Amino acid sequence: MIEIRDLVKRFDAPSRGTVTAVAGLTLRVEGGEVYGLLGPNGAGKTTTLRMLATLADPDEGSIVVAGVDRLKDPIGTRERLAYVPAEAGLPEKLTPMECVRLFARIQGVSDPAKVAGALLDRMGCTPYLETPCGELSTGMKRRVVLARALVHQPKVLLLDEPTDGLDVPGRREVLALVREQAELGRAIILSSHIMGEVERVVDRIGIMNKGQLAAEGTLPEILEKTNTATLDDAFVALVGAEVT
Amino acid sequence: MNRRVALAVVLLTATLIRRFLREGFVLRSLVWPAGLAAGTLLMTLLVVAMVKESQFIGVPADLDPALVERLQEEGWTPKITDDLEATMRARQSWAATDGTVMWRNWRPESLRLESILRERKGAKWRPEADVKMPTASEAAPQGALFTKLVAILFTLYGVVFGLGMVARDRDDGSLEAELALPLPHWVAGATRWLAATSVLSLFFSFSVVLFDAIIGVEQGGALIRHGIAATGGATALGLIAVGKAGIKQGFSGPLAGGLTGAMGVMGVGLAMPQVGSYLPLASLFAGGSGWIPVAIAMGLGVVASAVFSFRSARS
Repeated sequence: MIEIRDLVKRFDAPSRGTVTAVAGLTLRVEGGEVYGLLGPNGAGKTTTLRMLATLADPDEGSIVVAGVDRLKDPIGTRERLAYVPAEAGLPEKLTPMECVRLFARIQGVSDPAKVAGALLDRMGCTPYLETPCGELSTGMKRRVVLARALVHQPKVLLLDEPTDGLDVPGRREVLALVREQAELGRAIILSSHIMGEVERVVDRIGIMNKGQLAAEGTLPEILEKTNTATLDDAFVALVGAEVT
Repeated sequence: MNRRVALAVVLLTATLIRRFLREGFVLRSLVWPAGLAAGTLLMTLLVVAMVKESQFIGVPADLDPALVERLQEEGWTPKITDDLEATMRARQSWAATDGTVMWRNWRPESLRLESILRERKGAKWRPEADVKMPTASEAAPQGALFTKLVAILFTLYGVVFGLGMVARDRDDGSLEAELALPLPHWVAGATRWLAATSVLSLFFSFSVVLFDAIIGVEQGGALIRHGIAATGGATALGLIAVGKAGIKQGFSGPLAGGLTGAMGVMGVGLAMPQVGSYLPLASLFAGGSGWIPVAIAMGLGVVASAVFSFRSARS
């Protein structure tokens, strides 16, 4: 469903010259699978997700999303995926209903108001349908963003730090929802730096460091490879002093 | 442009306009220039109406007919009265004269009356008194000047709106969510240009109509077109200047650049009116029908959308 091969992205940083954010990344995620992309700050996780979402162009390499070549057909790629950025991504003066209905209309969903209402209801947002997004709690904003992302039934879901800023119940709800979406056959990449939540929800893990995969596999495979007992320890063993 | 893109342009533009109108400070900033100016003018009119004196000049029945005729030539209305001083005290006339002595109040025309009386007596000195109140048609250029000052303010708003819409939406992630929709990336730039230009043009046109109703505005139609061109051009400048900036990443540099650019183009209208009459922003000061600057401003909107799309892909 998602196939990344030899992906490279460089940036020009005024104080450091050319910085390679992603350095030859290769990975594959199947439909129905939740792939946890871990790594310290600056490892290249968000840059990778942004390239997948066609928000940044790679310098080298190829990306195929649900059978569509991302470089040849970026709009076709965007039709098949939903990207949830780390920031809330909701205009403060619009209501959840307006945000989700707008995206449903643009995505060509039939009966957008009904679909938006049903999704927001599923996310537990019904009491806040007409509340400006700027007045919602962080957790409620996350739910609205997820409802908006799912409005066109995407085949691929890209979640950048989806539980950032949430309390424990909020995290559990979002992770349960992620798992539920994978059961529907969607390929999901979830970027996070909270090891505990990743362990609970992902099928496979990729640990990025300096723009490359330092390790990849199921949790037991990674623990065995690093000869550690927990994902936290495995992460430190792989990334070491690079943790910032 | 396929049907989905056309629909998205309409929906996103309408949504951006709705967001503008829900922002209290944005709405206030759009309303106060016209509101404050119109309020001041109306208050002035009210005060003038309250203290307005009689149009009559009190004169005795035996006043020299030549002087009566001279007063009438000035547009004044002589009114025969027995007691000139009492007429003044009762505010039944704004001035009174028996041909030698004059009574007067604060009105500047009283200088003119004094001048006429002194002239008749062969006085060596008399006041220079060209103090006629402007007529409605004479006030129209002042109305146009007033409106141009509002246009300058709206032009600067255009730069700020063009920059601010992108920078703020970039910071809160809503721009990324929008760019991840299956639409060409120029749509996000074009809809922002359309929304800001529409809102600014609407409020500027309202200001011109309001001023025209109160004091008259010379060539109001052309002035509206110059204003629309200026706000459209300035919004495009803002979109081009914003680059990769966000509120958190540093907004002041691109803002300063955009405002300097806008003021520079406006300066062309003053320094080279023959060139400025074709350029948005500059045409405010250069004159002309305003149609060509509107067309060029629309072209600038297209260029700004293309630049926005180009930079989005390389962020």
